[in-house]
Amino acid sequence: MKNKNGRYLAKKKKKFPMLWFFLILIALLLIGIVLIANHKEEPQTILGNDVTESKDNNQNTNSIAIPGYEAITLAANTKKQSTALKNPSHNMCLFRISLILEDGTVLWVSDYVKPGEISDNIELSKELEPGTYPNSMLKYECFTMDGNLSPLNGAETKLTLIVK
Amino acid sequence: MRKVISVILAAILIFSIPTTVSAESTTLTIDVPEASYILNVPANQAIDYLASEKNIGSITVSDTSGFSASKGITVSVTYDGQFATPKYACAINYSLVCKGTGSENRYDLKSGDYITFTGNADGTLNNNPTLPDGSPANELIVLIDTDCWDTALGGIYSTTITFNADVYFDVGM
Repeated sequence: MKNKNGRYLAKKKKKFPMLWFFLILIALLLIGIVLIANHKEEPQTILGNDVTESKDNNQNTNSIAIPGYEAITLAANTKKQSTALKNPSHNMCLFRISLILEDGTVLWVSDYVKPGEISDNIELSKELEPGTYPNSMLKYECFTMDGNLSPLNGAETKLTLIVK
Repeated sequence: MRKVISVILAAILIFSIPTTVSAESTTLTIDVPEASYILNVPANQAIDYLASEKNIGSITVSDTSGFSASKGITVSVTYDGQFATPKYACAINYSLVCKGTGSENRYDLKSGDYITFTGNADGTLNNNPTLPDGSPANELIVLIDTDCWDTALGGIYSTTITFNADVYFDVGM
């Protein structure tokens, strides 16, 4: 293209051509960070999820349903597990669940789990070597849902931890 | 260049042809299911002032699977035998009994004592538990030491009972 004087005009350079690239890159990074921060790992195994929920609409005030297992399987050499536990929906109390080894080592304590809800994935206090850990225990502490968190009758169910 | 490409393609083709296994083996597996259950234990109950006893209900099981005629569960009770209040040091003493057959038949269920749910051949648990002496275990009853009512100061007294479940194997020895 020529100007009035018949000279060729230099091709107009785009201002900050890389700026848009970096802006888009930063935006994508921010979106990624937000998505990762909001991502809650879905448990692969939900213990207690197969419980008959026939009493869903008829919550039971006279008894507390405590899930029990002969054994549960955990992954070796990692604290983060893909297993979670459920408070049966027909209960009328909060659960606080602890996983305890035979020697008394507390491997995990859940937050308060409402009826029908699932705990966070188990995150152990220490990594376990592969093997079987007999006489381990799931301790269920039960609390009222009236805001006072008054302790109710609870249960302890013995089980074997299979770590592999 | 074409030769190189044709050689690579030929190599991929040769390695992708399944090789014939001269000797086949069969793996036999048995999946023995692990037992699982729901233990239904008595929830909180209010006991009337001056009462001498309170039926708090039964221990039952549901959603049972993976059991057998020689595999069941025992459920023991742990309790301290005192209704306590945070306001005062005094307490109201109690003990637990388990109703057997008939209204008069009661079994003292001391802390640490257990009842048994035997397994069935179909993998479920028998929902008629038994006491250590073999008699049927029915409702749990809290017996209150009525002498404590005279000395109890005003307040809300509470206690908790812990139920301990354990899968057992009866190996017939």
